[in-house]
Amino acid sequence: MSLNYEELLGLPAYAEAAYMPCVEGWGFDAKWTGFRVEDLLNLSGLKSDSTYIVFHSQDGYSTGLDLDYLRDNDILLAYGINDLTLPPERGFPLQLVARSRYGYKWGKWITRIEVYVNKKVIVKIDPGGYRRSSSGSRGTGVLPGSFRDEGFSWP
Amino acid sequence: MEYIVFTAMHYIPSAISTLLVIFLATRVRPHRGLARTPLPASGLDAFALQENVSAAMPEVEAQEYQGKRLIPLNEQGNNAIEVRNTSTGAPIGFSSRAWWKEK
Repeated sequence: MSLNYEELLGLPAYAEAAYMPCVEGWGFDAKWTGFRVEDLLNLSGLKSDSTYIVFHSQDGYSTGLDLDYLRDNDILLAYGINDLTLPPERGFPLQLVARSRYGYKWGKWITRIEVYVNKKVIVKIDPGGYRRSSSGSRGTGVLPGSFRDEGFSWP
Repeated sequence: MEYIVFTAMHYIPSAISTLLVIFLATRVRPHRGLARTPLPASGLDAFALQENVSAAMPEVEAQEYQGKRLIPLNEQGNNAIEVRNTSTGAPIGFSSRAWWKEK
């Protein structure tokens, strides 16, 4: 399924305030406006056995999250920040608002989404991926140097 | 005097229980795989208070929302680095991957 920007803006829009915490210690509060990932996935005819979603960025970065997390937390794909359209340097067209996760899960410049039915398959495909939870303690693997395959952030 | 003794005996069991709870609390460690350090947070995202809005951006930067002060974009951190064509030097977009590589 392929949608253009205008079609994405046609999805039910929500806003929320959320804190974006970088693993390096800085972060910021912002108002995020966008649509729920689940609403987009439902348009695609999501299969009942889908478990894991991978978000691909225009610059080659990608990050993955459990479908349950995305659903349970009404996670947004944002096209607006503080009532402004996401500027190019901030992630236009879409940034994931991975609330309660560290910043490297907040993928920017998202242009493609993949749905997997079994997360174990991904681990097999990408054995060098980053497997620790992004909400793990600092000292146990969330520092940038711990990424074994830069550009991927499989939990 | 009997009253004082009774009072002391009454509190001894509860005091022991309290000490035992404190002792256990300091001894018990979460499973390594489940260890969590709370994310740094301002409290804004303690719970999601989403509301239906219009998709049309006002394009005037909001300074506060839901009673919370927002950080202006020019004061926020950002790991994006401008990517330029290596031949012409012309800007071709932004990326955070280059930021990670510099780390």
